[in-house]
Amino acid sequence: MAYKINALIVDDDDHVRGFLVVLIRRLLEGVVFEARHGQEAIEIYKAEKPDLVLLDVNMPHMNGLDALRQIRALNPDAVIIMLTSLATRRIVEDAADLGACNFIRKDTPKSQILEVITNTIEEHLVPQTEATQS
Amino acid sequence: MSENDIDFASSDEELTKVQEVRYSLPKLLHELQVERTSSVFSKEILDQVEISKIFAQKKRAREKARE
Repeated sequence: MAYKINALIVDDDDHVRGFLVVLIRRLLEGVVFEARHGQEAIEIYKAEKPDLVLLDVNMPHMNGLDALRQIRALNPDAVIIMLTSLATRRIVEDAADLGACNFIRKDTPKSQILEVITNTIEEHLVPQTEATQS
Repeated sequence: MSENDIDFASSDEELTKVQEVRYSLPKLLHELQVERTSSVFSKEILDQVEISKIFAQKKRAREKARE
């Protein structure tokens, strides 16, 4: 199943970002935008209005939780999945309270990451978009 | 019987006199919040299964609030 949606991937690590782009292209037919930190993510979000955002927590300039807060202020229905290497209970609960739709640990197996992203798309975006068989 | 000996019989009577204990809900919630944000509990590392459970709980709570 390939979804006709655009996504924004935000991570300061080039390798992680590249990995996520490759991974998400398996699911999406739309454009995949990339940002290296929270501030850049806000600018791209304002300009491109992506349907889905994958947002790292620990980043320079503006961290993921601050970026999450700002994107949700711009669009309360923004569909955002948080990413982190170190998922402490506090960070996960803060992200959930701030309106993140889901949360992925970066060391999660590839198949499980795809499952979380797919479930999030199905739950929050599929009624608004058209999914096509590929 | 010395002065330091405990009179268990009278202590039991004292205990039975306590009929009501009052707790302050805001104080308890504040304590819970402090515990969740500053303790070892808040620093607990969660796996993907635990993370999914937290998000499912939050989702259920939001849906309940909407009803």
